[in-house]
Amino acid sequence: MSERENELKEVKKLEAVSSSNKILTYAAIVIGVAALVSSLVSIAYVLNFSSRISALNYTTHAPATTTVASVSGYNINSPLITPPLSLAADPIISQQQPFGSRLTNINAPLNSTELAIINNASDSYFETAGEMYLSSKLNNSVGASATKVPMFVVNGKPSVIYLGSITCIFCGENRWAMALALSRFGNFTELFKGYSSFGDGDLPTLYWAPAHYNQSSIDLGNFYNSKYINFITLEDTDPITGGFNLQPLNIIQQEINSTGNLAYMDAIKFILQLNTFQGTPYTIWGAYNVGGADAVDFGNSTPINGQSLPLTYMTHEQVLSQLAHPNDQFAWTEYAAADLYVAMICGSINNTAPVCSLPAIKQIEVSNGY
Amino acid sequence: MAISKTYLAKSIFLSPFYAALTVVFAVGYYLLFIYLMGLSGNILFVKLPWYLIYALVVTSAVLLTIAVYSIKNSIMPYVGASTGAWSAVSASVGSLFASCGCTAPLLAPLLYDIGLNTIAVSSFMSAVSSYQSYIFAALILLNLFFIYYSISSASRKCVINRGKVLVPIKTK
Repeated sequence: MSERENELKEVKKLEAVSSSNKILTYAAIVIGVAALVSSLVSIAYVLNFSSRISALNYTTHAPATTTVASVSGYNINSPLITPPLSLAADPIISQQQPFGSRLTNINAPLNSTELAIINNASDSYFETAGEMYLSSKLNNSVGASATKVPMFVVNGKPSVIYLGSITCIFCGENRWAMALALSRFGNFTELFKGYSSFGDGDLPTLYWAPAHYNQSSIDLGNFYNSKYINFITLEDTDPITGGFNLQPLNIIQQEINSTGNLAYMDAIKFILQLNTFQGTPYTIWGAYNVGGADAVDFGNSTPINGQSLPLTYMTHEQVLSQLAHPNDQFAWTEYAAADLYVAMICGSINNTAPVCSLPAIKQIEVSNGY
Repeated sequence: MAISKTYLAKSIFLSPFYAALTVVFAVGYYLLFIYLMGLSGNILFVKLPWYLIYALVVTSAVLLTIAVYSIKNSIMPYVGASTGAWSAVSASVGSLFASCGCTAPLLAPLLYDIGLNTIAVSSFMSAVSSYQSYIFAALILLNLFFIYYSISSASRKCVINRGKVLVPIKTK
């Protein structure tokens, strides 16, 4: 037999062996093609071919707003929910615990001095932070695209609606800015010390009401009063010692419906109708909706990949002290984030609140299209 | 005579060209991860162990290199194209999932655009957050399977002559 014949024989033998792999080969082709198509589609969307992507903006200015036109607004009359001042199953923990796994003072109400830092923050801080935002002098990022939505009016006032989770790190950070913003239109008679979950940074934060930090639940209501707006809070809870978790929104809706409170029942219905949820914190500020987190402000320095966050190692007292006398990037960014919320509310209430006359707020309204 | 899988793998990855190509692909995939996680804001607190991200990057890069080798040498090029495409999708899907935390500005709009509603999107995000590590492990295992399959298939199609890997003569 010639060398050529031997070679051909060998190759035929090899092909016979590989024929058993044909099915796998075809499967690989199908998977590959599907993979390629889905990959290209994903990349196209990620590269902003979809106008609905509202990734965080690292250059400080929020992108233009989009509009949800297909959903009707609400105009209802209903009492709001006043939550309990304490929870027997989720008591205040007074013992000192180590950073990263601490619950020190969780569910403890802010004392009057601490509360005053939020309620009585100087307008000049909002103005300075707003100017820093507008002139891109903030190191930390703030601002995401907002969606124009119909108003959710309760008892004749537009509403701020918050859907978050006590376990969520972004919610933990955002509540500081939210509280500052809301304080421009009314005041809190109570706020509570809290944390994001151990698996999500263990950040010191504010809770709107005592939280069910040991169980899966939904905490509704807060202690906020305003003549301009309503504040409707839906706070999902899960064991704080775990990681981030959010109950499915249909479960949350069932729990809310069981309260029989029309404002809250319609608020979750409204959220589900909008189809703009991109994560927590999900907020609606009058006529503007922020579909997910809109700031990355976890301390004065920006940690690099995998490093722990400076805010994790701060106490509530330290955060409040920085907000009382802002002189660093962390505090200014919180005020700047609050400015964006303030501007959204001002744009929704025809600028009738005094804070709306601050030059920086007016400019933000113009530059961001509120 | 067919060559062993190990021999073929060695001949690919000990070649300076393919070794360099693997490094380039790995760096590319890693940068894709960083970029997407940065866009979503979740880069600061990736809950996944970083070794899982590195493992996905490396296995995707190795798979893509084998795909390039297969296509360049006309060894089952259709399999090469398929596994190469899979390599790209495992890296991009992995990075989308890695960037999903309590907020997912990249993933959520994709889900709405394929027709899901708020309840489905929020449930999907919750599930991804809860099972992120398992999803990553599954992607890595699939990559390893495709690496094995590609090398195994290619090794049966190759012959060795004077220490060099040769592609057999086509019979049809």
